[in-house]
Amino acid sequence: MSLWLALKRFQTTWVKVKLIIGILAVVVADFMVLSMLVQGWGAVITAASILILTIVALSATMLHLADRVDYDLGVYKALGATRETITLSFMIELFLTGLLGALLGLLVGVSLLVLLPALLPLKGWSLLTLAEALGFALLFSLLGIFTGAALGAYSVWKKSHRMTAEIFAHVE
Amino acid sequence: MSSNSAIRVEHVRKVYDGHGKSFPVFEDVSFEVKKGEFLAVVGPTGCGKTTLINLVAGLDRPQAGNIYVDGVNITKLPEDVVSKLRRRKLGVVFQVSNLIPSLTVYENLELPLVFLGMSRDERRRRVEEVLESFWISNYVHRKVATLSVGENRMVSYARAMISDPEILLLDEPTDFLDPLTEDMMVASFKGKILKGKTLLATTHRRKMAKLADRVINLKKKLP
Ligand SMILES: Nc1ncnc2c1ncn2[C@@H]1O[C@H](COP(=O)(O)OP(=O)(O)OP(=O)(O)O)[C@@H](O)[C@H]1O
Ligand SMILES: [Mg+2]
Repeated sequence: MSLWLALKRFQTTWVKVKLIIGILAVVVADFMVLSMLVQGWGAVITAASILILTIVALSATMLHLADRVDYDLGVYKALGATRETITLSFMIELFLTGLLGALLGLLVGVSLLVLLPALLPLKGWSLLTLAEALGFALLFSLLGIFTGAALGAYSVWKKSHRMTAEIFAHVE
Repeated sequence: MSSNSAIRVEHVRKVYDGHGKSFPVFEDVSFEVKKGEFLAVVGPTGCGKTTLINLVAGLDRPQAGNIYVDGVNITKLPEDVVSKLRRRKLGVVFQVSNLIPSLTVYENLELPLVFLGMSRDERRRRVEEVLESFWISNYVHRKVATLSVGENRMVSYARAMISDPEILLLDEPTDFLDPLTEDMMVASFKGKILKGKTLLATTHRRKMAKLADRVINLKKKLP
């Protein structure tokens, strides 16, 4: 039932477009920088910063979605859903959204990279091959998405602790 | 307590807190609704009718007193246990609509059945049954956001009935309905749709109060 809920919201919620674009942008940037890493200690530091930035940026974007759920949360509770069902459904939704954004981001990133060498003289500088950069970008984004979904789900879990009448009393 | 009791409210006290002040709604309310009975609650605006419905539905907790639903004391149970009881036994029509606007009428009606763990086919069968009884077949695939207020109310009523609950809690159910539709809804209270069900309804309307087996009058608490 959590999956059913998550998929329904996935198809209908508007915020998601914004969210997917946000994630897409983060992942593209991620991938571009990774694929242009230059040899040396700088590369390690750059990669580490990108990892942290990815996790922070993706989590913040995804938490934004989990912030706007009070009304639906109240309805689910009023209709007899348990906290587990509700939280799990939001976790699935966030994860799916994140995954879609990241995959689109990588797609855009690769397309750009195929076009870019024609314009800029960066080719041959990079430490990583295209496949390696892709692998790292994917890994970093997945970590970010997992963290984002977990934090989002935690915030929903906490919210769902309030009594239903109180949740409705505080919906803007 | 007799096993004949569907709802029993004993010495319930409810106080809202906000900004360091407290707003008492009632100090000591007690009443009982027998199985199959229709009890109407009337009283002026702000006297606590909606609060009472929320308490009986287990959507809010009293500061003192006990509330039994079908013999179970819901004030002493963890919330998730009350949720499970609610989805099996209670249907609620809220005074302020709380359908999900981005879903279709059909999906909104399906929602309580999803929480009951019903298969897609069972859900379709139930929804189709209810559609006929509530005159909403015309707009079943429309988004709820596009419905008129009265249509919205009829869908809320249908949603409350979808899992065939033993007990219905109705908060001003005929608000926003034209006199004809109101008559149809009121007729359904006595007709076969609600046969054998226990009804607790708040109302400002004479027509409905007249139909009830019993009426209780909530007084407004003066500050
Ligand atoms: N969350 C809340 N915080 C503080 N006060 C509240 C809250 N909810 C309701 N009240 C107050 O409690 C009283 C009872 O409210 P309630 O909604 O139960 O009235 P009602 O009888 O349903 O009124 P109406 O007939 O207008 O629907 C009102 O004075 C209201 O302002
Ligand atoms: Mg009210």
